[in-house]
Amino acid sequence: MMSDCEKLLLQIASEFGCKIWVCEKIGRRISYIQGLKAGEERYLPAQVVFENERYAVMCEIEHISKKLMLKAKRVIECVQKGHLSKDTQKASQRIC
Amino acid sequence: MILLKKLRDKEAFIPHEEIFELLEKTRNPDRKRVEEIVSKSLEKERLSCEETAFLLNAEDPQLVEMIFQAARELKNKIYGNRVVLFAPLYIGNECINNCVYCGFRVDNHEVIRKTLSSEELESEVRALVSKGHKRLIVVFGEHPMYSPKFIADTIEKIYSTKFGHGEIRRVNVNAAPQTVEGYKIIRDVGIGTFQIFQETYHLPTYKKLHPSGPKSSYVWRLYGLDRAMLAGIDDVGIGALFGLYNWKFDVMGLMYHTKHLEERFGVGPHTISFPRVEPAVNTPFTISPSNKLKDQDFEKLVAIIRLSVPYTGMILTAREAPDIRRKTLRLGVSQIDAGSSIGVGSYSARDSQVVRKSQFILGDTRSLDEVIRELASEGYIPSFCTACYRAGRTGQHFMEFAVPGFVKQFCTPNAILTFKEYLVDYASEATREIGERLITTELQKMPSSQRNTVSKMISQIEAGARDVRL
Repeated sequence: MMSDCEKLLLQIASEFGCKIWVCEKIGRRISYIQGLKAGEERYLPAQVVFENERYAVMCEIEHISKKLMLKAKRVIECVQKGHLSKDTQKASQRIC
Repeated sequence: MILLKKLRDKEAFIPHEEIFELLEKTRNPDRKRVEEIVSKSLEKERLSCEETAFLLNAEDPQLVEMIFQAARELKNKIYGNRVVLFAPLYIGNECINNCVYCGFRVDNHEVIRKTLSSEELESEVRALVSKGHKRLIVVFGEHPMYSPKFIADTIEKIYSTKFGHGEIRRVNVNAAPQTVEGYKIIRDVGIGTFQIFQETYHLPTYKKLHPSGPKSSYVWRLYGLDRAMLAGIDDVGIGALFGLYNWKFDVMGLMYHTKHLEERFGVGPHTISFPRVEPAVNTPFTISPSNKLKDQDFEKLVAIIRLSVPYTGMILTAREAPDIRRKTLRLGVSQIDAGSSIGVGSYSARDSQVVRKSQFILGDTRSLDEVIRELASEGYIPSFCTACYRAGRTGQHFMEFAVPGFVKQFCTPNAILTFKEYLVDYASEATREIGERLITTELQKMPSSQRNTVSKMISQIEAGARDVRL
């Protein structure tokens, strides 16, 4: 079953026509959190849309708007609350 | 240690009988079957274990040539003409295992034991950076000294060492299997890939060749990368040491290991390594290993792994001589080391005892610059790119990017940009000349908008910017 975070990512990808994914910052490694991505490959450079100390939301999009940033912030809040699918939780036991 | 003694060794996800049966029933495959399998692979689909077995049993020279031709084509389709370069850095050769083929085994009293101090580590990293390296694999023996904390501290020290324009941007790790808690400590410093080689997947041979120490447990090692994945390390590398057992069985072992990781975690190994046994000081087993793999079979092995797992990186090290490295690069190898020195502490200091501090003896001792010059003159783009793991293109997500569109859009430009850095900062005059010509040729192949973007970024590098990437 799709988690709240996955639903939010899908909604953003559809609204902004972008590819979006969530990562954990581990030293200089920006590590993808399994299951947390949405949208088609755009072949654009990856940009950080929003980040806090632990997580980063990456996006392939031409222009980052304020609205997108706010939605990306909500994604991180969602991840921190642990609203993830069982698969993502299993694959990324470190989260929360 | 007590825990390890309680673990009962079993075949687990390497079903020996099934592998033997597959290798038996796929003998003498006909041309049509091989053609079908090769076509599937050229569509970039991973092969089943049975299909790999068919290829392993293709002996007819025409069929073997068909396999080689397909491997070359597939490699070119997916990876283009890039070759990723790295260097091994041996941190310490203390070891409590007794692997009969290894120079570091505990009973080998002719090997000189050494572990780098913090100052020596810094000197080694500065020496590597001063040659142009950006990617390392750090190697540790298996010893209580090399705890997860020690490994993590080593990696942090490497990342924090800067020299001139240079720095190490990605550290991969080859160390003993850890507990999940241990892996978490290592994961938290931001590693690239964690490698564990099973050496041989054949349980009875494994038991014979690993008589004591933690490594004597087959299952502890076999599930080592499962624990890494559970700890959140999603880029892992598998490997087998060829020459220990029947090579076809061990290729099948690699495939079953891949299948297991895909089924359990949704992502297979990031890389596969396939070293051959090489001579080591005071190690009689290595002089004439009972299952020594001939060059011709080794080339076939490389081509078959390439076709079986189209998207998995393949690593060939300087254990091998230059000639076989040239041949296998064309057949599927995507990463090589160069300018390697495997004696502990031997990058920064000349050491007449270097062989006695090494795990084995290298087959390719050319400098990084020499290797790069040769690669460039043959049309390969030497790449030090580390962009993906700094953009969240890791683990399962990474696998999406080994598609031609992505390679053309990102991997080739990033390879060119890191190569340009090398040419500006470290290359000899002769290498620079050949390299600049190659970059010009590569730019001409690009559509004009992309050419303009990359050209601008090249100008930034010429003006002093570093780590410029798409």
